[in-house]
Amino acid sequence: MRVGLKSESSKKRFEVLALPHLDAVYRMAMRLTSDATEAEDLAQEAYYRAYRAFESFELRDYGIKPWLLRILHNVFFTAKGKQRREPTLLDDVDFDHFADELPGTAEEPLTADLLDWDQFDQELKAAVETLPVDYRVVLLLWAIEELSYKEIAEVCSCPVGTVMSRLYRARQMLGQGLLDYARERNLSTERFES
Amino acid sequence: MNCLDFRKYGGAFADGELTTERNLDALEHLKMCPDCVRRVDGIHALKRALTRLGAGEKAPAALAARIVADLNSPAAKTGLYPSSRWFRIGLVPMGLAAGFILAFWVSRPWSGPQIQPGQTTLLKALAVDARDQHRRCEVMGPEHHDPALPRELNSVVKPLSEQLRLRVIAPDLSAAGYRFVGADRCGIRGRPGAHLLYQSVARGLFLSVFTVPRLDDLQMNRFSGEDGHWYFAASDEELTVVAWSDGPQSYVWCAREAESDLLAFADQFRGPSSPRKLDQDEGSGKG
Repeated sequence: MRVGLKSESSKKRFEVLALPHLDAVYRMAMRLTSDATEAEDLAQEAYYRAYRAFESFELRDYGIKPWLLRILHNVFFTAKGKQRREPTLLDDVDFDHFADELPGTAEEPLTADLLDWDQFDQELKAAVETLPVDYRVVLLLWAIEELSYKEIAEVCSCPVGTVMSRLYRARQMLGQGLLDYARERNLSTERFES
Repeated sequence: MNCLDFRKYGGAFADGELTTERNLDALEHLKMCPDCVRRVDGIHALKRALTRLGAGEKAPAALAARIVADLNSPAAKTGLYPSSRWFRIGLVPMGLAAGFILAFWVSRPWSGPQIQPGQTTLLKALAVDARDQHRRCEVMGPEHHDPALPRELNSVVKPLSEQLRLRVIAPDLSAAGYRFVGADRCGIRGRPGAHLLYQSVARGLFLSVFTVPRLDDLQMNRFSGEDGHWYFAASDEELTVVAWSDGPQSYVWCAREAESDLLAFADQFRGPSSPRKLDQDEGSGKG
């Protein structure tokens, strides 16, 4: 691998590969910072660091997008003085074990899953903002960036089981929050009549 | 698979992430359980709603231009400077400070070994460069780390050695009271190299360990023993620099420590043989 001055062709290659993912990087920066100016700075810093590390990047199964997002994730948490691996959230356990925490019967109310999400765009947006940052990030990467669980794990530097449990809890928390909102306003909470 | 199991795996099923065997089990369950079918529908609906909300969020148009401008900056091209934007803003005052330090350094009596005048200048330049790079990087603290590298001390050696084609050292200095903070590819004297940064647990001060291609332009092997090793040490009132070569690479340490202490830290990493220290009997006279 060549070291030393970055060539024009290397710079061009980086631009061609990395810049198309700027929207995705910016979206994640927004989820992390909740502030447009900070998000721009964070995205810019992430690209700068990615360019400096470009020679160490290997185009693997995941492509450059998870790699960029991972750098962004690490830059953010490093700047915040946090460890790259966040302290385990109280309920952020390995997926294979968290089923033990589910209620002992199968008769869990299904209303969270029956919620008509189309009614609640703004409320959904606000509800996402109230989630812990780790859950917000995983939700974004899952829903908007459509990354696989493995890719999300790569970005967040955590096991796949943790990704699955965070997704599960994020969906539960969103559902519960919006159910409460819907009930307060006597809005429909069931898509299907029994 | 029962409903309790499906609650555990339903999300992964909806996302197509289950193994073939579990997927078949889930499909069998769904044939008999309309509630779980609705559960899957709900997950898909949530995903669509989130996608709809996020799809319109685009990066500002000017951000791409700023990023491209960053890539064209001299610092980005050489990769020798820390990457922090906040630090780049401070490069001018840092440059001025480095200039003052250089002026101070070349004007004071040489505190290291006495060697020939030409070599004195070159060794002084090495010391100044090492100290400058150390100062530039220590202000970043934990942020002085290439995110593409592992965070663990033992894990950075291999990728750095492969990338730089050098035998990078990553000494464990915990016994000396220093913890590893981060690693990046910063060089000195215009040569890309590995830079490991450590911080004193008790005092918060930083220590740098550089691995760079052998500093042949300083003609160091003129001062080496039969085994090709050499070292020199120099200190001013603030920072001490210790350097030695070993094969095709040179190692340069810099810290706010007394020369004897820094040499003691580095001693165990200075190679299998005992290198000779440059002393005032070297060469034709005093510098």
